[in-house]
Amino acid sequence: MDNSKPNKQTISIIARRAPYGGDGARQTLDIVFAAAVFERPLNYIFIGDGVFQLVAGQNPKEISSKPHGAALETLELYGVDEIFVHRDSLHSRGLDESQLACRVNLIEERALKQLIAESTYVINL
Amino acid sequence: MTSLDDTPRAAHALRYTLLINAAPQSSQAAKTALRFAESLLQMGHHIERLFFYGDGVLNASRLTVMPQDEINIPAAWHALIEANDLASVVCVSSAIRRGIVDAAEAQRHELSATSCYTSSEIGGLGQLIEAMSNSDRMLSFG
Repeated sequence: MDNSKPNKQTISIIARRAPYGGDGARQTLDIVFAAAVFERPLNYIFIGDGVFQLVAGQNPKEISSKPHGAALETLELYGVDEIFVHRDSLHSRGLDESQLACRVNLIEERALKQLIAESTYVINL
Repeated sequence: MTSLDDTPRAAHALRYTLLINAAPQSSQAAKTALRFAESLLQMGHHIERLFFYGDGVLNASRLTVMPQDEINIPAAWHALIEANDLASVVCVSSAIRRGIVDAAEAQRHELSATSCYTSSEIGGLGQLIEAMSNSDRMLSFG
């Protein structure tokens, strides 16, 4: 690796798709797992319909899909603990923190912008 | 494609990783990525790696046939990769779901044909993270 680069390259990965209906949610999660295996500092950020990915007790068997929330519960085992949820996105969809499958940090718009601005790389699928 | 002959050279060359997440036929994103890659090289920048992900793996299909008056994006990627000796990786889990297989994957899954251009290798997401870490810029398309 090029030593002239800063050692702490932070990757922000933004999940903004609903968990089912498209494969964006899973693609984003797979990148998170890959980055975690490489032990890269990362922020996993949920905004817009992406907050639906976090809802506990998902049962998509009847639409022939695997539950997305179950994989999210394993994030902590991979050392992914910087999980941020845009507060307004959550609340405007009638959800609150108690309904989510894992521990998250609720974050305001201004702090979210700063988090993204300070990241070395941003992946937004 | 329009001529890139008058594209200015960059004062400082940068290393780029491009993440292509869109199918060649369904949106403009893959075409934009292709033209962006061409412009980068024309300007003297370095492409660390192309990474095809999700529906983007269809950009590596050598079985794509386009009408004569439309650009064949997978063929154009193949030509660009070969001409510039670029590193190009197709995500394995996205690829095999979509029928994009090379000889090794065809053998592993007992399939009778291959569909992936030999200019791209089939690999894993770790190669995206690695390339990104060695790049000044990472851009995603689609």
